[in-house]
Amino acid sequence: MTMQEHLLTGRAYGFSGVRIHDLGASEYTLATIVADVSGSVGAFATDIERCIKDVVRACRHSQRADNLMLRLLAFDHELREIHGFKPLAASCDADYDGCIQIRGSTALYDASTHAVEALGAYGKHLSDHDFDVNAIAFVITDGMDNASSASVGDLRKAMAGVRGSEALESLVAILVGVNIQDAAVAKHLSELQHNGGFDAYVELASADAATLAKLASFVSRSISVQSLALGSGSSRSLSF
Amino acid sequence: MHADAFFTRGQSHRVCQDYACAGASWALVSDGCSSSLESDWGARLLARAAAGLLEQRSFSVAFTLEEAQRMQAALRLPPSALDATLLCAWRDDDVTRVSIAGDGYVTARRSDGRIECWAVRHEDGAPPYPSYLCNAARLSAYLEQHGSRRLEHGLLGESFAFEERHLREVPYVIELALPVNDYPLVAVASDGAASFEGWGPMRVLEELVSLPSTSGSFVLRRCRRFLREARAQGIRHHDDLSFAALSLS
Repeated sequence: MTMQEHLLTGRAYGFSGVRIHDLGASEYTLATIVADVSGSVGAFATDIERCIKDVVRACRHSQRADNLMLRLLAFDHELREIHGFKPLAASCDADYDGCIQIRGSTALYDASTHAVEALGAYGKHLSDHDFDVNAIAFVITDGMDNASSASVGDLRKAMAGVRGSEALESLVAILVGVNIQDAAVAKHLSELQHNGGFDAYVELASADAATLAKLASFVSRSISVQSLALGSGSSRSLSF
Repeated sequence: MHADAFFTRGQSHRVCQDYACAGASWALVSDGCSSSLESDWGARLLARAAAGLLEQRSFSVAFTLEEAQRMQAALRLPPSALDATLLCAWRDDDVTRVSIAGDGYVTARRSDGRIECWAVRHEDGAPPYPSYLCNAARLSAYLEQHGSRRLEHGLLGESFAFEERHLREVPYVIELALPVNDYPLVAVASDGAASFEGWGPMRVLEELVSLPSTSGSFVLRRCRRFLREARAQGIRHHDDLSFAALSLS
């Protein structure tokens, strides 16, 4: 399976995805997980990594496994593509060992905007080759943006652009706040849900292993449910 | 080299009597006769028999019929179940060979990008099923009552040349040999392509053969997209449709 690099117009970062020639199914749900790895996440980095492994493992066993592709991003003040869009059958737990490396500050808007734009671009690439495509994105963070060059308006515009295009049948975007114990952070993220164009905001008061296991279950089930909606013309999402 | 196939039920049919399949170097479609009992089975049996022979590089309509008859007898189906067309395209060294037994369409993308088409139609819409070759009485009756074949050939978007001959005067099965270098893609389709309300078969074929890529399930993807776009415009096909393509690149 060969990954192909793609550029995003006007952006410093591109993305990668499996080349068309290597894809066997006729329809795909593109899932993107965007994980905050800024300094404040350090206390529960291991549990976040386990959560991601749980998501991948559950999706690999989903009845829609052959129709799922996952892209994993980590961000602090910079964006890092841990891997591009690729079918989950090609993944194993060991691929995610050490994937959460804690560093700097929080470029939440940059990461979210990039993730949505890449979903739109890769979705269009697939759609141009007659694949049916929908998408779901999870942005997992524990704090407020403090390092982005993009604004909430840019994110909202990206969401609207992707949803307005015909490339993706539907896009579900979910913002997840982890270990949210500060009312100001909660308010910021809640406002970001509405102003940035997210479909839902899930707030988790802690980041212990049990909570993150529940999050992993929610993410993997949401991915499967969105994939089952492919072809219906609408999107589906679950409550946490 | 890669091939893929697709078939789907038409609006006026309860059971899909078309079938299509593809291997590494071949692609085929088969269209069961609407008025013959169990011809949905027959279309599949003919296709499976042909597929086995194509895999062994020993295809012929006669061998296909022999094998299909064995399967039909084992399944205790009536002989008329095998009343089905059979259109195959397969790579044979430097050429793609095409065999047309019955009616339907062959489209081939030329190396200059233009699409060449062969349309085979029969008087009264009654094609000469290969199964008639197994029964002298049925063959004779068919040739007496029908048997006039019209073969149209040309480039999509241009006027077609055609010839109309009685089947007694021309080979029962039409065979083409298309040089691989001149035709990088060859596709076969059932006459369901002519059953779209308001859209002629050439328009349908042009859409189906507009393949943006030829990897994976490329025919399945193209057909599904095309049918969805047609439905969005209120266009439906009443007959079953089958389409299979062989990319030589």
